[in-house]
Amino acid sequence: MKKNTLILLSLILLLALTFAVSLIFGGTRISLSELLSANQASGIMHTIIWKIRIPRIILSMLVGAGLAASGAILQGILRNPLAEPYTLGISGGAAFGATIAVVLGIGALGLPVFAFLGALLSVSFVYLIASKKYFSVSTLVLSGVILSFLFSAVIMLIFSVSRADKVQSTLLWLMGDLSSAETGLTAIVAGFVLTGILVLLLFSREVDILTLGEEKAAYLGVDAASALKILFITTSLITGACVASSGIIGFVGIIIPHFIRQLRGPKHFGLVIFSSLAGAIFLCLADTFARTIIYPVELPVGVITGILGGLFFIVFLLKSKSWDGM
Amino acid sequence: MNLLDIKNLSCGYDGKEIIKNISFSVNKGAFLGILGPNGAGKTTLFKALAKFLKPMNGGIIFQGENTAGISAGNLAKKVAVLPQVLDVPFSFTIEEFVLLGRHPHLKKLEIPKKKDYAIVENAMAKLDIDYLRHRKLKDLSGGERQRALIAQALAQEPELLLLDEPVNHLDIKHQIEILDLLKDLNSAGLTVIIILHDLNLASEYCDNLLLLNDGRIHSSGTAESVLKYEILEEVYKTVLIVEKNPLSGKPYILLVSKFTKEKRKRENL
Repeated sequence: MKKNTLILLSLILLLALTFAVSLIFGGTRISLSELLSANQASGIMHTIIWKIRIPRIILSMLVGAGLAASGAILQGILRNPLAEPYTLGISGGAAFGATIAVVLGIGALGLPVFAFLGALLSVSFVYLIASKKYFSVSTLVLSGVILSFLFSAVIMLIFSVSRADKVQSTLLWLMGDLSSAETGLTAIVAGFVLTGILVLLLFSREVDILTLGEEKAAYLGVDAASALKILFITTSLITGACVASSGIIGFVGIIIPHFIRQLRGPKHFGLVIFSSLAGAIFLCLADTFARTIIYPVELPVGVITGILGGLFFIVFLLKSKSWDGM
Repeated sequence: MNLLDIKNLSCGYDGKEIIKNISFSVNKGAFLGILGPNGAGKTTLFKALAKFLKPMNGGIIFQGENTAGISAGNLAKKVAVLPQVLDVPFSFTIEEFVLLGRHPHLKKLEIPKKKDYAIVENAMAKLDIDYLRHRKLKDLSGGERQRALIAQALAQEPELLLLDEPVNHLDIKHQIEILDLLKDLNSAGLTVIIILHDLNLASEYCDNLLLLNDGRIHSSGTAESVLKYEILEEVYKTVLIVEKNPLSGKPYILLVSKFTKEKRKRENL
């Protein structure tokens, strides 16, 4: 219990620190005194702080938290530490929606809507296919993988008949892009992610039991099929909102839950809380890095999470004595 | 009243009947062994008893109530089940793992109370695994792991414990330890239904036996009445010799290899 409180406090402290650091760094460097008087500040500085930087910081934190929490739960219910928020086909659907939006020339405002609709489309397909059979882990994974292949083939088909510049801008979006952050979008994503995480916490003990397999779960009084349905829909809505607002950011959803599980075990209540906080910190730092390192050009944040996360993971893997990823 | 009444039960997979019209009863406090060759339907019957498999016909009456009408959550308060294979991919500590057995008794969002922790302590103490509480399940030896699984089942505070070949991969010392322990729990009032492959273990420990063959009950009753060479040779289709365990007086089964048979033939015996 003591260890958990310590981890929780350090993560919250780190999150606050990350917020401050990310607020200061950017194309325009904001000094501490300017920051402290941000409320009275007028004109351009006020706009940069309140309309651009804060929504983006909060969006990056929400997306990081949402992806890490979804990853933690999906790894649990699919009983596979290699699962991630995109395993069940949601990224394929979102990418399909985004591709359509870009190719049709629908503006930046329409893209999240299209991506979210695409995500819902693939989730509904996966749900329907899995429901046709007994709603189980294996039918979910199978239909998710099939849907992913189907959508990526369709996307390639669209690419092959589209102009190069449209392909390029879709590809950049696909690698993760938080630059469309603004207050309204951030608020919507906050609604999905925070409500979703609450639902996941509500079912955390069921997830603990589902890791023992559907048969044993039934013997411990858990209705596996209906728990799976609720958890699948919840993680899908969280992931869908994350992907629609910021593209397909990899690595956060797979590596953060791994890391936290290694630190404090597989019980999902703590795992979801700690993963959310760690995911928020990680993605916010990665995004700050992505938008400042070669300013004025912005790197896709997915590239940064991949490189930073990959290097960090390798070092951790080599240093840790008892790493087993479980 | 019987604890369990199985009435004209038929069940199977994908429309194919594996268990064919079986009826039997289990008294409270019984220690019943289910035997039979591979493919006889032992595990299928077991899954139906545990309500993981729906009956195609007939039903299972537990304490006077058809299990079809009892929710999984309510059944788990009274019946604990150890399946044949349990693969646990994540590294729960033993204490965390045993505590999961309290789930059926906890309401949504209810945090385990002192009472629940006391029950978990008690279960770990009974199984003599309290010193392993901070170890990971996957780091345990086969015998220790089996104890942890039984401790989790006991944390459910069941009246009936179903076990599917719980001593399969254990050496003879650990087989005896686990079965002795189950026998102690049984003496304290727990009803036990256990699938066993080893006829000698079944003979020594079970009060009653149910011998399945091809989805039907071939014979049932005490070890002395079921474990006869005529019956066993017919069901298992191999030559066997049944002797008596000199200490317990229970039937003891000896096997006869092809090599021995040929040797005896050559020597004209």
